[in-house]
Amino acid sequence: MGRQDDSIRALRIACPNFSAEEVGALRSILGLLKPYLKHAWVADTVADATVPTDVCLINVDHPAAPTVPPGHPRVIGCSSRPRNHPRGTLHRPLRPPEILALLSEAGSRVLGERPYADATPSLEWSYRLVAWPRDLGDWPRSWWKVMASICAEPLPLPRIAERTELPVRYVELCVERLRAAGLAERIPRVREVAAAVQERGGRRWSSLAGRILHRFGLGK
Amino acid sequence: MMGEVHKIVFMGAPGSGKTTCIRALSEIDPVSTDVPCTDELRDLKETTTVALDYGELQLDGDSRVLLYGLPGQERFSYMFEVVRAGLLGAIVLVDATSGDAVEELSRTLACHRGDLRKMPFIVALNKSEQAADAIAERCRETVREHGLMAPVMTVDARRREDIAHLIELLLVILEFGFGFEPNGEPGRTEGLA
Repeated sequence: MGRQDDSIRALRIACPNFSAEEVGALRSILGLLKPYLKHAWVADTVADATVPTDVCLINVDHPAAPTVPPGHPRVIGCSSRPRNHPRGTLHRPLRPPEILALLSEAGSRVLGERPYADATPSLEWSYRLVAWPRDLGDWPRSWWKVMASICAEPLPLPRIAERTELPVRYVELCVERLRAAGLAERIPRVREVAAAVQERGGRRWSSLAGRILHRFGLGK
Repeated sequence: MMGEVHKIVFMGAPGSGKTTCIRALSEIDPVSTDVPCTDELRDLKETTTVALDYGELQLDGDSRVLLYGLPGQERFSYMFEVVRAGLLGAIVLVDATSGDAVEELSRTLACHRGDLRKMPFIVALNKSEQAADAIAERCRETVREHGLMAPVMTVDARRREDIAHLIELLLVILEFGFGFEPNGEPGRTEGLA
């Protein structure tokens, strides 16, 4: 019954503790994203029990506790310092790519096209190299692999770790150092539901490099 | 069973060190097509490469790495066709002592930009005893201006160790960045084209 209603109504974002300007900005973003969203979305500040709410955005920087609308909508935090909050917290001011990723998934879930993968936030960060370090020779050789992994495409930390066969924490250290030096940027992307991408096995070119170094008595 | 054959190309302006790199690595007498300079290069060096340099690195198990040096002059850019298939990557050499070092790099990148987008490459700054940091930074900017991304490394082309480490980095980028197979069909046994 409710599903029939969902298929025709505009999906709703409640922003109970957003300012009017912030809601206006969100509406502008929704206008920009309209060609890219499968469903129509509206945004308002009212937590109205009589109106179904599909996503609730909370300003976690706001000192007052917000009123979350009833009906168990998806609650997403927004902060000017999202890294100080749990993964999946969006930036304030809101960024169109993050909103697009969030609403694309939320719309599909509401209309029953696919379930949420789990209870964790749907967004994760990918990292891309924007420039190679000028002192590359001073960086650990194993970090060259991390840089190479993200020089052609942005990847999330687990994928970099999988590709390079390095521990995630070690990869994270490298990426953080790159970011601190302005050599890497991070990009929000929708989390892959399953490990659909199978990293290739074998290390053909590393092996060749090892053989060349060995030929000259270099390396291990 | 025939061993694998791989190709690496050294590119750059005249005098940038392509022939020197190949001499540093090759285990056969390098084939070099140097001739006396007859044009404005005469003041710079006595000979220049008019076709290509060629050397080989023999590895265990019958595997070989073929090393090509392509002439710097743009009018010979068609020579890249000769080595494109199965190429692992390129090392673009820059003579840091040249007054036109950055402009020469820019010309090389402009000439081969299409190919360099599809393969790993490294800019190697050679003969850089003075002001290396400043020239290296200008090289980085030039790479960016061409919409490309590559590490810029300082090397001494005469040192086998330096060139071997360049190749190591090139293969790391190939393996983890480009991943998969080099340009064209890899590992086929081919002789000097």
